[in-house]
Amino acid sequence: MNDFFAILYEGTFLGDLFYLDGFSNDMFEANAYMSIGLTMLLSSAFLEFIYYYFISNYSGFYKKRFWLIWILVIGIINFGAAYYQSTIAIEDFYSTSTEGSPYSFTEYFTFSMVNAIWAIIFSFLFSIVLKFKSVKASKTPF
Amino acid sequence: MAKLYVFGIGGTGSRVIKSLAMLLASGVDINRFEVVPIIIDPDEANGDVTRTIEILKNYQQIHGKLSFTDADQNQFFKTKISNVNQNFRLVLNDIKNDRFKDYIQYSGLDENNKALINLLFSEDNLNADMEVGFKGNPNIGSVVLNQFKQSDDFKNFASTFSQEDRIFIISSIFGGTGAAGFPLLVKNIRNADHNLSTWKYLQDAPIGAVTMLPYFGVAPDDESKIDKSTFISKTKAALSYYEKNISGNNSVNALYYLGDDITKDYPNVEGAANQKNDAHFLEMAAALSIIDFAKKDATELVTIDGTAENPIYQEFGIKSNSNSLIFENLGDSTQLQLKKPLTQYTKFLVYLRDKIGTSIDQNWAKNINISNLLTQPFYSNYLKKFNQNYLEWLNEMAFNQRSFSPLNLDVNDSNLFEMVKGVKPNIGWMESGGKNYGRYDYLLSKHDKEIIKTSTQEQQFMDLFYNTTESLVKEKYKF
Repeated sequence: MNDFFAILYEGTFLGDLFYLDGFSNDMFEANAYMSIGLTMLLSSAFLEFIYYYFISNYSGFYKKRFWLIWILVIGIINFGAAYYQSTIAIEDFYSTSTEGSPYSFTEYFTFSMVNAIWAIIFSFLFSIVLKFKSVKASKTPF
Repeated sequence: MAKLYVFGIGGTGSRVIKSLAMLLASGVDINRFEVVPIIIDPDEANGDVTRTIEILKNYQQIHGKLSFTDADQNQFFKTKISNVNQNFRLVLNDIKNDRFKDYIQYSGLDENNKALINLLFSEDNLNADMEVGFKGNPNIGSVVLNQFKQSDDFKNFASTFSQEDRIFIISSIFGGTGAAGFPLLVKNIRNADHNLSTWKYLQDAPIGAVTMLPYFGVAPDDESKIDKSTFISKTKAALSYYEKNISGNNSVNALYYLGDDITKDYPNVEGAANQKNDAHFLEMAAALSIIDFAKKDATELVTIDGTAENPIYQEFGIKSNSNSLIFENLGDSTQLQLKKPLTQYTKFLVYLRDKIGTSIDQNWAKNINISNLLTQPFYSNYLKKFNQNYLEWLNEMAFNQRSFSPLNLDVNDSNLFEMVKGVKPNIGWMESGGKNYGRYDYLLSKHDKEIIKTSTQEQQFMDLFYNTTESLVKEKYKF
């Protein structure tokens, strides 16, 4: 599973687009991709479920603009989760090193942005599956 | 489909037919009969008559756009209403612009006959202009209306009558047109012209009738020929006549009596466009008698050679007395008959009145293409107009005496389900969709998935609202 998420977080199929020197290797070695990836997938699925079978039933929340806001909220949540989890994982990874973690805010931010983008992409995919059984948002986003 | 010919005589007849149309629109079942209203009123411009005709025409237009196969879910406007005559009226020949004395050719009579006529009719009677009816004078009505048989419209009715069909006659007993018209109409039906191919069917037709005893008054007016102090004496005289010529000779198969001692004085109007009386609870009760008659088994309505075998006589009662009636005051079977359809249709109506304009971007509305439907004559001309009349009907009954006001019509997005007076709605603390119109919209979206998308736009619209309102009244009131 760590291998699967490494493909996503390093952008292997996009010519290692998201690969961060050293940081990506350490994340893989620390087995952090799996926990962050699972959090991303499960939270996206759960929050989309909440949207389609609960939130969208009320008032005008079935409308596309609220769906878009919700997707962005999922992205932000996953950005925060990735930032927090990656910081903990790397600190743990370097806990025995006297010099500590060599990475700066940039690596964590970039990785968290990648996680947020994947969260938005998966939320969109979950939307397509979940919308059909939704009562009021069966045509959201299209 | 067998037909039920409903003769409405005079202003009361028209108003009862209006009530019947409202009940049928709300989905009250009439045993699969096709209803054929025939209004008999010499007063062509009568406000009650013109209003009823407009309602019936709108009903027909709405019904005509819908289908009622087993696959169709909607029951609103289910019963077919048709007409044998133009504008649902039975036009009597040669009375327009006539004074009564001209009609009977008084000036051509010899002295002996003039003396007899003077004995039977007052000077006022002889000079009465019949264009606005008989102004509460059954002695005039009984002469004029005796020409039913010669009327082309009566012949139209008689020629279309078939073996399975039934006849129902609505009349008031305390006025002029109804009191005189009822026994004459029965006589003309039972003694139908033998040249008609249908004469035997008419002779042995199941005939039901409701006769309205005084249930309203008129304000005193020295200028008017109508005086409410004569209502009771006229009623007694007419009842005494009916005792021999209606019930005494078993002319009708079922006779319903309705009346009330709590009354309201209407403006004293002799006729024409200004005679537009408010709807009254008893008129709805009379409409229920038509439904009761339609539901009677054919074995209860056997007629042999123009004589009913076992005539039925019924009255209408309420469970508890009150000046302002709600559903709870009605008998159990009446409640069962009215609660669900009236509440359901009113729920439909208030959505169209208050909410539909802001719902066009909802999925169910897009699926039906509601923004287009709202511009079509089905909605903008007929349904909207019919619903205005329906609301007017409910409001008039609520403000009349005795009042019938079972539904709170001033509901909005904060109290939508507090519509049925005396019934506490079931409202969960966390209902899907939210409260009031939120819940309504949620159920519309839910039922949208059950609608047959190949049906016409109008059919989908009505199916959707019928199913949704049915769910709502079941969920909120357990009707």
